[in-house]
Amino acid sequence: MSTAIEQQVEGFQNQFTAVKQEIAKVIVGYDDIIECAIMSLLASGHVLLEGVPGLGKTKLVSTLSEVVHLKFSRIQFTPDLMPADITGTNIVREGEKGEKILEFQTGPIFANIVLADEVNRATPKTQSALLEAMEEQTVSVGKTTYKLEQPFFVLATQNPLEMEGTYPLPEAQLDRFFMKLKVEYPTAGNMSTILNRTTRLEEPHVTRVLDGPQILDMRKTVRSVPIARPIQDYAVRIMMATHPNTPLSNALATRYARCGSSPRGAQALVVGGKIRALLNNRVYVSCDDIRAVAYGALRHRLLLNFEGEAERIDTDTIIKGILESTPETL
Amino acid sequence: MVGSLPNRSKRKNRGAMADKDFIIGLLERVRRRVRSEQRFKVIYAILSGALIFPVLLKLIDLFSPIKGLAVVVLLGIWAVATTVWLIRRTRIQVSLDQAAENLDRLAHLQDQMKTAWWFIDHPQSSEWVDVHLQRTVRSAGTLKVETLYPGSIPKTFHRAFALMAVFVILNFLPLSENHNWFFLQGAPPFQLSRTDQALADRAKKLLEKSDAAKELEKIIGDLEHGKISSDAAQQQISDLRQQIDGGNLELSNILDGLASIANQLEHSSALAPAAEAMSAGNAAEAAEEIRSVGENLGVTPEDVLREMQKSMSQAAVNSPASLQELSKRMQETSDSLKNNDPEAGKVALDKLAESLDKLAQRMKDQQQQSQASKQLADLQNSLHQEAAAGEESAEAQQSPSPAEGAGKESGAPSPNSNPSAGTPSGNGQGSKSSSGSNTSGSGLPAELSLGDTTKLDVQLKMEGLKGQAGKGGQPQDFEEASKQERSAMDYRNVPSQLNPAQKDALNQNRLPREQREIVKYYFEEIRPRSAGGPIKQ
Repeated sequence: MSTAIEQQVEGFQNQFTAVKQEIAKVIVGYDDIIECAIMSLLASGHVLLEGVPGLGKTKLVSTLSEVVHLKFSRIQFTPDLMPADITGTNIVREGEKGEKILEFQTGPIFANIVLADEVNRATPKTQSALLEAMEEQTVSVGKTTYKLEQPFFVLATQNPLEMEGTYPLPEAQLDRFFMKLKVEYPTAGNMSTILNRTTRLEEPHVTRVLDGPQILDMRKTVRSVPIARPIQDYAVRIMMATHPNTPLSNALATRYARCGSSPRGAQALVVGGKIRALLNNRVYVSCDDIRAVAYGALRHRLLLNFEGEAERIDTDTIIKGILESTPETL
Repeated sequence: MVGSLPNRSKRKNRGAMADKDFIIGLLERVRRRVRSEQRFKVIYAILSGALIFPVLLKLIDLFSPIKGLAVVVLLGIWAVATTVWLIRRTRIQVSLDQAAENLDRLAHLQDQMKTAWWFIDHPQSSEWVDVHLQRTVRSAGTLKVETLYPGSIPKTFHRAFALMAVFVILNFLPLSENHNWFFLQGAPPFQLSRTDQALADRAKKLLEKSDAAKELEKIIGDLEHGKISSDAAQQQISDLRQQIDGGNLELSNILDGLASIANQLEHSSALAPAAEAMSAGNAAEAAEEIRSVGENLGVTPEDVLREMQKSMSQAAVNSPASLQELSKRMQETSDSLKNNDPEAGKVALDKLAESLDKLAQRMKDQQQQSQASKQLADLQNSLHQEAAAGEESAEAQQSPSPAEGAGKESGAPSPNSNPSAGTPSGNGQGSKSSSGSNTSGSGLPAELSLGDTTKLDVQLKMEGLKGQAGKGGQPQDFEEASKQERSAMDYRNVPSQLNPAQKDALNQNRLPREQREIVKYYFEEIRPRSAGGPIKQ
């Protein structure tokens, strides 16, 4: 039986590596971003990609959708986008006998992989249309609730909030993202590779290496990895340290944070840690795994207070302080 | 096939148990290593801190010797405290959790041992856990506990060793004032100063043939061992001096008697040299002169012999009771000379010389005792001054006592000195002992002349300081609170010192507002200064 688990772990690593390598054929650099995006897919979570325009966020998501054999849809968020444009709406259609039929026309949310491009350009009302779909994997229109097909994975991109015509995502919306990944400018070396790949006649092609059932199996594998209580407690302490004015809170969080991470943050730490453990050929979660996913899992769940915003404190700075000060054991 | 499933399950269980036992065994070994390592660290850390105290104490002892009892008490407290500290801190309990965590850290196992131990301690029926334990056993098989925990010497060991070495070296430093605590040595409760010790040694040497020496030694010993106080020692020395000085009265009588005998013998020309030696108190020389007279007795003229016989007879009659033997010998000599028996006379003179020799020996003993008494007086005075030194204030030193202020430079007897010990030298040099040793009569110079502590006679005079008239400061007006802000009290309620006429004058509406101040000033100016009250009209 242990051999079966070993094979399961090995298969997980191979599939993960295959997806990553296929995406890397198109996306240059951003290995950690790609890895975290796949991790979020396997963790049944969603990803928020933040970066200035033109860094390949949309390309990354579209490439991921090409690599996995899943239904893909893209929603370009604009200020005049309405919730019904995302979820779909009931329309009146004439039947064969000329009768009037009220029929539900599904929106782009009804897909396996949804790219919510420039999600913060829509109004908060429209942004909130994603809430139910992301958490409950259902869509309610009128009195009917429609269940979304699994796997359901939302990849949202957003421009930095300082840019023109952006609306900050509501806290509840942010909390539903498994990870928030920051896309930085590529390095000079990577830039040359990008130019080589994108300025020629032939563009790189990717092959589909993963389908829906395989993803669901991989998700089961992730959930099977055991975690010892001391490691889990460590994740809890880190999560609790993000809260201001609690016995476990960090000094930086107390000073600059308005509110800390929700329990979803701790869940993200643990599940992310499990995936990382599997990728490192381990069948247990270590504190290193928790620390490795802490930035992506907590940075969007930590909300700054006025002082933090006034001093332009990066939430990564607070998380770094928390990781440095939180003991592995008590 | 049906029976193979339980067998497989048993084998699986046996394997899992073996894995757990292996991990637990490894963690036990690690725990022992960690515990012993931590114990050594704690022990040397505590010693390196605790040894600072005895080293500092020893350093202080080198400059200011600490009494033996104090050393024993301080080191005892230190030893007990250090032992308690050591016992409390070395009771280190290392759990298997801590051992696993420590092993993970040293072997870079990424929490593998910690999680494995947790799963062993909290059993779960999971194949994943079993795989984890199997993998942990494989990892643990490559570990060498002896290599991971080599048992190195902690850094604090060097500091503790250095402090211990310093402590040993300080104890064995070849200094006169150093006391080796390893040999349970310590400064005595009371230590005589070098001067006092010299005085005591000299007195003991002078009294070495008498019981007084042992008694003095006992007093000094009791004082140094803290059995008696300094005051009690002074009293005992005073008593000892009284005892010694009792013999000095006999010496005085002997000297007086010799002088009396010399007065009689000097009438005889043959006995004049002997008389001269007697009057000088030199009995030994007088004995030699008497022997010389006896040897020449055969050739001595008759008239000289008669003269000798007469002088001897008168001297025998007039000699004091303390010199009875001498008187008896002189009478025998006189009788022999009176009988014209030169042989008997020579024998009698030889006996007289022997008596004088014995007397000379007695006198010498008495003189030594007298010197010893003087040394003791000095010692007593020194002890008194040392005891009083701590209590004397600077004010007392600056304002001398009336006796000292009268120009008495020295020789003031100490308050507890024996009045019978004699009178102070009073020679005005200020260098002689103030103990009042009995030097009068003996005429012997003191072998050790230690004077009193020189005191400065300072007399403060009151002087009047004349003040110098200057310009002085300019008068300055400070703004009152009432001028800074409006009063909270209604002006009508303020008690006025003005009489009704003045009030009327001020309250008249026809009085222009700007001139009211002038009117008020007018009334204030005409107010009688001595009365200070309202103006009487």
